[in-house]
Amino acid sequence: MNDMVSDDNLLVAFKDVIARYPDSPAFTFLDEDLNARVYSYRHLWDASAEISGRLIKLGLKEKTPLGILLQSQENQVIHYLAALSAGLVPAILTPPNRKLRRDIFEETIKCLVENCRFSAIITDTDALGVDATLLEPVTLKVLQHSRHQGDQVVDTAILQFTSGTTGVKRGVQISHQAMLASLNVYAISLGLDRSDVILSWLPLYHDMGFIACLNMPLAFGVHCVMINPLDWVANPGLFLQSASRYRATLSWNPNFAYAFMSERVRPEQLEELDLSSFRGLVNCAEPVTVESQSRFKSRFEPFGLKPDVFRGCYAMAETTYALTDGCENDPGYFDFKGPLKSDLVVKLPQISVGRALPGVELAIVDENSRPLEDGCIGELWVRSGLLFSGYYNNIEATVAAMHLGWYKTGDIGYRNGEEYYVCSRKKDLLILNGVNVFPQDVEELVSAVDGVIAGRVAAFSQFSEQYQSEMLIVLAESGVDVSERSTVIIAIRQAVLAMLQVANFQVHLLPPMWLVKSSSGKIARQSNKNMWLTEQAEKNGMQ
Amino acid sequence: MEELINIIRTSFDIDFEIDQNTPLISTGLIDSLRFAQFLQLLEKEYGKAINTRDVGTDNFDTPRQIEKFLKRMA
Repeated sequence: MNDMVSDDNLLVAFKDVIARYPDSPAFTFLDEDLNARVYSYRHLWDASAEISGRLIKLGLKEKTPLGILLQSQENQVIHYLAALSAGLVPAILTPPNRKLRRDIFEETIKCLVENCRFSAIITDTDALGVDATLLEPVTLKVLQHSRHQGDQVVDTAILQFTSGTTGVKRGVQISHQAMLASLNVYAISLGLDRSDVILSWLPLYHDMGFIACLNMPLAFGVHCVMINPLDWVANPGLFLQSASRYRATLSWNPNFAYAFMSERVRPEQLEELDLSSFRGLVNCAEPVTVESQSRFKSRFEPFGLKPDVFRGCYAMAETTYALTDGCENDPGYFDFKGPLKSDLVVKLPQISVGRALPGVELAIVDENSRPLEDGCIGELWVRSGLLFSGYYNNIEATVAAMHLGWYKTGDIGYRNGEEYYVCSRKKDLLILNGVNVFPQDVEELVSAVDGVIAGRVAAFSQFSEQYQSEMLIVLAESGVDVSERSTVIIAIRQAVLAMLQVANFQVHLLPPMWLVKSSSGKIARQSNKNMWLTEQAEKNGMQ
Repeated sequence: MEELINIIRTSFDIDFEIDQNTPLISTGLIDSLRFAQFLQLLEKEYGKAINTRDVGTDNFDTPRQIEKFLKRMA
């Protein structure tokens, strides 16, 4: 692997790469017909330097957050580098797309801007309707001026707004030191080399794409080939064709994506496909299943896919990114032993997330914060130099997430030897197609829909065999007439989709008093889930 | 129109009444992972090529809009 400069500034590391390999390809952006726009490091630097010069001229206060709300990945990458060069704290935000209702997108952005004082937002979205300075991409022409100058953030190189929702979107602050340490330690473990080619369809506003496919290439001079996420969803065969064409060696995908690609690639796209260049397909961001990986393998092994190509990774935005790394041929990758004892109602993991990266301390602790032995199920805690500096403007959430220097992940798992296995969540958090969702946010949103009885909503997830991912299920009580039921369901579905952008979910209306509450008066998610699943099983049994 | 609604209902397992004004994309009834498949189905049924970039909630959300879109392509 190439040495990354040990200076504690991200930009210094990037500039060093740009100076060393000016003519090497940095990023290739593909369109839906696989036409390529290629940027060498020099070309990328020149494009971003022009913009950073304009940012400096605008006199934006140093170390203030700069929102990047742009449609194309090409623009996101260039403006990201420009923001860092101008001494600002970039935050790549989720742009709207044509599948979502515009009014609800605007509401989300409004809440975000109220919580985070950006010095400006660079955007190609018309009429945002927020009180912030808005700049046109590239030219940085001021589209709208706000008297708010932006609040400075300390100890922060970048801000990542974790998937979450209206009102409670959390800005994860990552320092230069944490980012550099994270990139270094993960790259060493992967054996990252400049001959590697990363292939990605991931959005850059989520940690996996942002770290592995934007910051890692920039820090090590590795070529990254990007497909737009919407193009990939419409035509997942693009991924395989690009892999073959660019001799891709590494890629990061959530579990469902492997099943999706094996199912949806068109036979004609398999012609002359050569996938032998892949040395690592990382399965990350949601629970890994043997099924998803097997489907991918059986479909693509005839095209040269290596038999031990999958890698595990346990990662989250609060730890910058990766905490573990593991290969399929590591002993313990498949878990045949399981935990010593489990009273969990969830399906147990069959595949390890890997071993802790150097400098990462992982502990499995019980309810009294005491470390547990091998094979015992408990909460995963982490202590490391890779931890975030805090949640932006949310000291309560930061304090609640930490315990004496340890970050409490909220994940439940166990260890066997050096291998870690993640079973489920302790905190109420649903992971849907790699996106984290707080069920209480869904319940609150659905409660506010006309026709739903306020406070009488339960949101949970159930594993979908077809999609190889958790699927959101919303149960809502309603007293409306049969004739109005579809109107209510549609209103709920529009609100949920606009907020979460999840691929598939179910909404069911139930009669009043169907849902049960816990002794503390809250809707009891687990009991309602069990009731619902039992009822469905009975119905299916009767058919 | 009825034929189109039937195609949609059976392809996406929709278990409640939908009519020509039911939004399908903005509700996720036609979810993003199956959207491309749906377009392929329409292409086969109506013999027209549809580019995913040309369709969105503003012109392809309801059966009525979809029908209008297909007619315009004729």
